[in-house]
Amino acid sequence: MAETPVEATLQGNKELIRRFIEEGQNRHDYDLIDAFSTEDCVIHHPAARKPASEADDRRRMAEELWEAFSDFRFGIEDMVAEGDWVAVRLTAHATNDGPLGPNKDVSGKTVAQPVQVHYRLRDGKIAEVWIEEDVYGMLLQLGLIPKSPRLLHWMNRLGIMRLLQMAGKVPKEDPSYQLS
Amino acid sequence: MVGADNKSAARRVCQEVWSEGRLDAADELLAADCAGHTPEHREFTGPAGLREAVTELREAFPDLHIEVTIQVAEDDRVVTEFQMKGVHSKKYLGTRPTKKPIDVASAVMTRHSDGKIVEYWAEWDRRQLLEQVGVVPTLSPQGKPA
Repeated sequence: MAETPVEATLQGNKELIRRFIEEGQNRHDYDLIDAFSTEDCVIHHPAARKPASEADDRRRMAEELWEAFSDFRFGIEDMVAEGDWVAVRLTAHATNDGPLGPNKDVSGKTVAQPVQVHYRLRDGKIAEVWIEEDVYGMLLQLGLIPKSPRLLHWMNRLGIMRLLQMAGKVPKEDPSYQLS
Repeated sequence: MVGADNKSAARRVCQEVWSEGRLDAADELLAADCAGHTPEHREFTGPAGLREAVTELREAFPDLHIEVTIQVAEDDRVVTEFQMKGVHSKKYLGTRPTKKPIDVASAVMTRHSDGKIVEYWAEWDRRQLLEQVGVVPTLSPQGKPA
């Protein structure tokens, strides 16, 4: 059965995102990532305090991520395309073998982190990115925060978290905004 | 159109089950053996599993409501992106109510078969929620809910 023009466009959009992930992000090729993104591309991430819309911010996010996780790669689980959107379900596989976040943590641990990302395309490039993931779960996997929310709560109430932060035992800033 | 029906079903989970707390709607929308994958409970099965997750969150945030921002559908799958909002009014994860508002982004992918949701993958950042109710410290000025 022949593809309709709409189906062909959706397949093309998915192929573009697949190349962006596998040839750009997984090979840590920032030039390719940049070439696939519009100049004003906006990235939304739960741990980034505001959307990253400047080219320098986007580059820094990627480079810090690859420095902290030298083997960082995404496995594509599923892709769903409609209109200008391609939504992707991914698993990030990464070993924290380089300095992570302001405390330069090197846990040596490997994470398998489920992530859902929605890409909006404009003129054959990525114009907007929404990333959803459980940052809390990732910090737990890396052993960077205590397992019990109740313990966390009391440490926070008693100011212990801030002391630990000052001593560099827990991250001051959430490092995982880099999981882009 | 099947895609539109599936989108409508995914939207009803947000509206009826999560926002209105109508737990019986879960039986209508989810298959008995629906496989759920969420950060909070990791895995759940069927309508009962979803009801449990909804009940737990709605107990702490009785005014919990969801605003759908993006929906993308193809074949038998739908992706729904939304904001979860509410006020921390009852005990949550051992913490006293703070009366603080939460506003947490979330994404759910659903797979549909014969008019029912047969698989449900949710991603949202528990860290953001814990920070907004003061379980973990707010680490930067912009980290506060709007």
